[in-house]
Amino acid sequence: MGLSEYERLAAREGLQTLHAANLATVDERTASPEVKRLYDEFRQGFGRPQVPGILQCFATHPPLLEHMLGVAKEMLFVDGALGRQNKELISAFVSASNRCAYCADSHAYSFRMQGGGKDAVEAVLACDLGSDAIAPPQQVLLQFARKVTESSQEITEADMDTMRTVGWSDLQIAEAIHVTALFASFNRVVNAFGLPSQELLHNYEQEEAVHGG
Amino acid sequence: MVGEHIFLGEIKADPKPGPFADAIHAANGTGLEYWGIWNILAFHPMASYHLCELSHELMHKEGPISAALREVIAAYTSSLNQCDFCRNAHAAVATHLYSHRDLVEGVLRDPETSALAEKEKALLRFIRRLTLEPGTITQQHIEALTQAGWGEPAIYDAIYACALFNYYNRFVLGNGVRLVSDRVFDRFGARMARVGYSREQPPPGQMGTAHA
Repeated sequence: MGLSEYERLAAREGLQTLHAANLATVDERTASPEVKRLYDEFRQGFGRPQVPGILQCFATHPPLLEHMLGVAKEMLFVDGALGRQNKELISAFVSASNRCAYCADSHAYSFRMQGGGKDAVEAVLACDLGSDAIAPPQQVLLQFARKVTESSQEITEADMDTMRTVGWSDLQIAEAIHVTALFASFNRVVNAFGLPSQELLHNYEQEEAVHGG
Repeated sequence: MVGEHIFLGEIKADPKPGPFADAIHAANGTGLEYWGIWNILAFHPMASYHLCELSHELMHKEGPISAALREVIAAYTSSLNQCDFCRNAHAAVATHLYSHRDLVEGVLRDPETSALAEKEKALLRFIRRLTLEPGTITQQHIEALTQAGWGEPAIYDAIYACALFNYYNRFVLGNGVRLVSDRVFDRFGARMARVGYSREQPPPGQMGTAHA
């Protein structure tokens, strides 16, 4: 592939004006010096020209933006015990379950960039956990993420054993809970602001179809 | 769940150095009941540092919605998600901030019949929808808040408080954080009402590193 996830994205995305349907986000041109500094830090850290829409939501409250970037660096954009691909898998699936088109798209795209398959990503976005395209341990991982998302009050010790039986460690389970819970929060912020999908996945798949994978 | 603070034995057995491990060791030294949430916060101290700081900013600092009402949002969100730990903890904080237990309990039974003003009830209707049906928010629901008299800064803060507790509820329930006695909820509620969420100190020697 040659190019990194964010280099590919940078090559494709220009600086765009964001339009959230329900509430105003913080545009860089009118942002305070504090927010401009945090946007710059993001760009330097992640090598992307465009500040993602969700960060332009958080920027309405600059300390929130600062510390959410901290949480993301510590928990999402690192391998940890679970690995980036599994974290993106959970992120895309939970976002699809919560009907958050923006997050589902951007994390489905990141899942592909982390080596996830085209068929797997389609199954995840359709919330089809029985699909053969998803490996058995990942099916169990996503069933667990579904329960944490939709009925976390029913989680018991037995759910931990189900995860352990297919090979997930306690540390991996703890990270899976954390990532799933973070998306319960991110998806609600994004949906309340009304951010539309950036169609990153669609554009990528079209490009792949034209130029070959 | 008696006798265990959380489900994951390896996480409980290995609190990483930082303020939450210190708090656990101090509590173990006295034999007092302590917050099980400390065990899951101690599993990744740098992520927890950022979470506590942003929680403190969103929930405790001055804002267009009073800290008391933000705590009611936290307790109500938690009750909708059936997270009794967060519900009881933040009902206790709200009760200390309002000095009015009946008001808080009334909201948690049913906001519509509670002693809240109509403007506040409108806010909790929105919180209910955002918590239970996160994929259905439209401009019309934001407009209802504006009509009720809330400005954009207040709407942002309500969204963040609700979203934050949708996170905490799953973090707590997913890990099986056990309930504590009413006396302990009250004691920690009084403390949070007074000092907020921040632990201030990042874990030793870890600021500015990519990964702990």
